[in-house]
Amino acid sequence: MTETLQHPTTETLSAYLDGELAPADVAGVERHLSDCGTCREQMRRLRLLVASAGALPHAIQPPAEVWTRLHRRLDRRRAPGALRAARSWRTVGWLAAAAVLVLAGTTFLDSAGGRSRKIMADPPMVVRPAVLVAVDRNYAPTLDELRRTLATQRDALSPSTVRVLEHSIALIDSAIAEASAALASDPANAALVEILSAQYERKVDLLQRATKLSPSI
Amino acid sequence: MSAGLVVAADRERELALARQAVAGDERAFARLYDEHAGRVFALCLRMSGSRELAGELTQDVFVHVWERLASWRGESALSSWIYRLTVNLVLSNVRADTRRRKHEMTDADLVDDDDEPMTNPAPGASADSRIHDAMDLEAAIASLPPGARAVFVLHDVEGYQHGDIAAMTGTAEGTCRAQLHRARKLLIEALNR
Repeated sequence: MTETLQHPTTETLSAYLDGELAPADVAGVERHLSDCGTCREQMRRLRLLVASAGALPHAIQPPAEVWTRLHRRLDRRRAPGALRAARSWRTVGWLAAAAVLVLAGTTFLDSAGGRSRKIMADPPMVVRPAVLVAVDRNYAPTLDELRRTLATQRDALSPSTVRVLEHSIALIDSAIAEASAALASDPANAALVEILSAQYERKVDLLQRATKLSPSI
Repeated sequence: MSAGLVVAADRERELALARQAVAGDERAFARLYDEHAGRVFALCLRMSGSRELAGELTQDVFVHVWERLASWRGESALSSWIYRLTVNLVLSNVRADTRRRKHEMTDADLVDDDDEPMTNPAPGASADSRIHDAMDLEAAIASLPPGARAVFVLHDVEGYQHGDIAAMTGTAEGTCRAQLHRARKLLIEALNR
């Protein structure tokens, strides 16, 4: 950048403004600016722009509805969030204790009703551990709401998007089923509670993203 | 009280508030929101170019804050931690949006016609030296391409250095500089039309 006849590019002027040019280029730009009113005007505009940008307010208050919606979202996440964030042995312990009570109840029912079961040849009673029920319940309302929202938008999505979405949901459902089965056999296992919660979080996240997809994607 | 003591006292106050929020104190979390939502929303608004999207992104930011607050140990100011999280989240959104539009942000994309010498302003063009009207400038920023908009907002509005922006965006510093130049050029054109 040594000639004074050719106008410097805006990039060069911008770099000059930011003090990023090599000394030889600085001298060239300054020589050109002293001779060229057009480029001085462009420099003035650059300076004005940068000063105006720096003077913009750094805070803009969001609409009140942002807090309202955020609060609602946190309410929905609060229970599983507490499980995950605090790795709360107290909570998991409580859930496990509930599970023990359910299992104890099951054992009691088994011993008390064993004879009648044999006589009546009922199908085996399926009792879901309380911990499993508790985790499911944490996510059920959110998932239901997201499913309903997605159902209304489904027609706007392309067939390939729907196919990929369904495949992804099926994979997560399979992981949920696997974690649920493991937790059913080992209800006091806090790590399994974490894993199951994480799979539900993945599903919530996927459905939330899907509801934000633009039509015809 | 010295500046250092003020910073330390403020950090202690933030840590106490964060601990209360992590422990489930909703009022403490609401205070954190009140203190930081304005800047988070402004950042989301300028970087996304959409008021509606900015509202959603602000919610996302505070959901992340709520989920990860326990991991903030007070090494840096809470505000820096939250704004860094905001920038990362908005940039992820910008990248996803860019992918959706099939306009990948590449270096080639950044240097399209910028090597051309500048267009000469008309002789006697307006020499208006007052600061640009904030509304006009906000509208012009919103009309920028996503990559150029993000770098302009981070550098010229928020005051981040190119090294920080490069680290946040995962691009080379040279790419950031090219983006900034492109943004300034487009803004000057838009504001002087």
